[in-house]
Amino acid sequence: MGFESPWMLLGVFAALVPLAVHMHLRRHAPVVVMDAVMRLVLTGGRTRVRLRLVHAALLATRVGIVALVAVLFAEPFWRRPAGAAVEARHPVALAVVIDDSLSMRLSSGGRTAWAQARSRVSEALAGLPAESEVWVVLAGRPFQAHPSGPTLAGRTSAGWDADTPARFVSERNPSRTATDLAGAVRAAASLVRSSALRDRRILVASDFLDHGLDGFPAAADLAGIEARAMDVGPASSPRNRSISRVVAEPAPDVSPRHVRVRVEVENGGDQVLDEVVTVRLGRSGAARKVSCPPGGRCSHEVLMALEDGALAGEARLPPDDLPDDDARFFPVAPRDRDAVLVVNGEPRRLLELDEPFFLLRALGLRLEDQAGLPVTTVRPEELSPLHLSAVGAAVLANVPSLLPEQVRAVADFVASGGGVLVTVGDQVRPETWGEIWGALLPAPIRDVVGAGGPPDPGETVGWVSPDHPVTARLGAGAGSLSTVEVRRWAVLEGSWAQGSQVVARLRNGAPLIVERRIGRGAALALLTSIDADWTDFPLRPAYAPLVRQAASYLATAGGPRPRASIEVGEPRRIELPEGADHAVVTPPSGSPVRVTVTDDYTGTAVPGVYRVEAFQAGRTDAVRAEAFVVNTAPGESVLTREQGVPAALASADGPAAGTARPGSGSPPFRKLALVPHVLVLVLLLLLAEAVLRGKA
Amino acid sequence: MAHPKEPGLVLLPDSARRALGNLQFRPGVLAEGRVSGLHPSSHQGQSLEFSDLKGYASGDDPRGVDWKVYARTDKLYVRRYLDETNLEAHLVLDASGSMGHPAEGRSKLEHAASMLAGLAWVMLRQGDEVGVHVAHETDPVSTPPRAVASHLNEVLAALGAAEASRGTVLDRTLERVVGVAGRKGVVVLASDLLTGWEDALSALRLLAARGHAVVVLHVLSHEERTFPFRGTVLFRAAETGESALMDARGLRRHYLAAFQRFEFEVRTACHRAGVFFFPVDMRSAPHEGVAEVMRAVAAGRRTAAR
Repeated sequence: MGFESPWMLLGVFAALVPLAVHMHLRRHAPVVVMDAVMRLVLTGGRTRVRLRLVHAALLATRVGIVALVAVLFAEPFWRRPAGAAVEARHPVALAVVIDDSLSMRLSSGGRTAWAQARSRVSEALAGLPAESEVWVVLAGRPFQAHPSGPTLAGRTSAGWDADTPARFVSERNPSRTATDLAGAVRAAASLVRSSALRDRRILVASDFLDHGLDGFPAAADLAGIEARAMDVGPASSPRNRSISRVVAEPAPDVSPRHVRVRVEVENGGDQVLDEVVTVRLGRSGAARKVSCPPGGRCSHEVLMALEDGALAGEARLPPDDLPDDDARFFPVAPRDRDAVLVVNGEPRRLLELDEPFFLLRALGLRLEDQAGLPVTTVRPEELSPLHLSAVGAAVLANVPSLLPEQVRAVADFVASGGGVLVTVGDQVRPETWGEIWGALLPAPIRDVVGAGGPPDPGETVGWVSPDHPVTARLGAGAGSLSTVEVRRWAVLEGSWAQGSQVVARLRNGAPLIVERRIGRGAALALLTSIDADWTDFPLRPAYAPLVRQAASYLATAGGPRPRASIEVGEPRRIELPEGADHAVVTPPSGSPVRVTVTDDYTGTAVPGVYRVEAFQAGRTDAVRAEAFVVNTAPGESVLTREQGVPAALASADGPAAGTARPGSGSPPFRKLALVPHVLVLVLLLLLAEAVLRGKA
Repeated sequence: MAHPKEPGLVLLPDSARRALGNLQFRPGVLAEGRVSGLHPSSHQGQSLEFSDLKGYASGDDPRGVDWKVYARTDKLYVRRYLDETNLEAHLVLDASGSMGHPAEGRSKLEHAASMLAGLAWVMLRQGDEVGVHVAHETDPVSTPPRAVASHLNEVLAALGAAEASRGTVLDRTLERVVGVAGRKGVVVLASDLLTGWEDALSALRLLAARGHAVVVLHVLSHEERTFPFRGTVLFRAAETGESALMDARGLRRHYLAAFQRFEFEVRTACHRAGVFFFPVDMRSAPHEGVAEVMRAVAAGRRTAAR
């Protein structure tokens, strides 16, 4: 029992007033010496006893009335378990919000928070009267309401009868998703407000950890709704450690077939973490002893050789009370859409003479609205699919030749949505380029022509496409391509592939920049050098903007690409490549799912590696194999609880609502206002006083 | 009840003497007096009042033969006549604490003493013997019955000296009366009977059985009969010192019910014992009450209309 205004309890001392009045009257009341009264009434016999009792009761009643009035002003309330508080004597519109996020799997004392929440919610639902409307909203991202529409009292939605909510809750298991408690509560408020019942309530069962309380509705948002908290959080912040991030990057300094796996470990405990992290990539594995201070985040690298066909790996810590965040999966080379791969076809020791000298400076230039782009430079012989899978665009700068598998990898890269900028130069041999690059350029290179070397003036740019994204934003005058002089350029064959177009021409009509759409991607060709060997373009103001526009355009030419790493519960788009009629998604559980159209795959409830293989009709070998990984939300691993139960739940139903101390882990309590009860008691005592006064 | 004035003037003022001067107290009991008086004696005597006929026996006075009866029956009968003698009266005054309750300008004790004084004055004037017994907290104070006129002063002095005490020995006083009242006469008790009336009534019942005319003057004030109090009142008992702070308005119903029950029980018990029971109205003068009681007793009414 508690009081909203405990200082008003000082008024209890006013209860001494009736006693003082009694004592005063006893001293100063008129005295009548009358033995008859004492003999006949007040001495012996039941009447005397009864009258004495009545007077004592009358005095006690008056004392009680004054004391209770003081208690009334102190606004007493009674603490009751929240579960019991859901009980109602009349039908209610109740939305039960249950946090089924990953953190609810946390085990404490051999029992998970979810088990506690499920048990207590079931008990609360069991006490509801018939005709009540009940929704169950699961707060794991994205939140789900069951049923989604309003129910009708006495005529529930199909398959949602009076016993369904409790059964639904008892049959559910917690997910591994992040928490959207705020969204779930807002949805719950919307649902109960749609009810015609006047008694509208929301019961929120959650661990109320800090990571799930962002944007939680304020008390005003829940006006008219009795919102209560069912706190099943841990008594103290658990010592959870997790793997918060794993990134695998190529290690060209070691070899083209090596990757560096960087594992970030977060130690949420209060002791130094000394554990062994196990990293698996394909059939190979490595273990690294890691040490991390309390409350710290530590990064450790593991160098691993990349096996053929290895698409993803995993890093794992020994399990703790929350084992789901002790393992994290990673794609071998998560694509960075902004990153650019530059294949330097003519490396030079002298930096200024290096082929991509100007290109690298233009890509790394910090512009007004964007930072420099991350660039990786490799030699032609180092180029591998791993490099291509990590970037959004690639530049083949004056590359003399490539191996056939490298050419196929570049073609696949473009076809799957990537972009390639091809530039020519002294290393270009038309006779070999025609065979190798015929798959990327609109047409094979027929010849290299030009006006000779400097100081002979070359051709200037005569026409620029005003609609193409690469050139549309280039201005006129000094910032345009009109001042660019080109001394040598490549000439293509006359028969161009479908989907090709000219972006810019020289004044003599020869194409300077051409584009070919291949699959979901695009290939741009600058038919002169990217450095200053054949043109003064790198020295012109238009150089950097055009290079950046080209890199941006090529990276997004294929439209949004499916992500290689998603969180639990997120849909992942499965795209069928050209020629494929179906794909098979193999989740970690091993039960394949056949997909026949490009669509979102939603069965990502379990963390792990999901392998996607596309097949052509009548063939058993996959035309394309990829993988994506599903991980838990890193925020769910941060188990701090400093905010406690939101104030909205404490104040939503005014003085009658309340919760237990945050983080106690003990069952939350509800303030049951006792003012009406005390008021009734005062009225009863007033009535009793009147009756007793008549009998006294 | 010490009074600076002459006790006789206080208890028996001239107005009372004048009012009672023409009255006689004839309770109708067959008295066993020592001298002749106004009251019929239980013995045959020389009065003019015929008693009965008796068969003549040897030794009877032949002057008493009723010749008319002899002529009719041819047998000898002797006429006998009643004797007339004086009366022995014992006046008992209850001087308990409850009798000190003031009402109408005087206490119940003073009112009762005045009534007994008036009665004593009337009886002494008609030659009866009057004795007084005052029931105090300790041993009773008794004045033996005498028939001389000067005895009135002793009677008045004894009555005037009575003061309300905390308790009373009314039952022991009446037992003494039982012991000393050897001859048939009158016993008058003036009391409120609030203390041990059952024991007192046992003694009175014994006296009545012996042939005494027993009269109870139930002295209660008008306040005790009507309970006119209002508001919060501290009631206190003079005898025991007990007190109780009560709401008089709420208490009134209980008191009146208890009082009626008490008076009914006393009246019924007196009636069954052959005791004259007279409630005394203190609003009227004591001599008026005495006169009414004397008339009622003479008429044989066990109670008097109030």
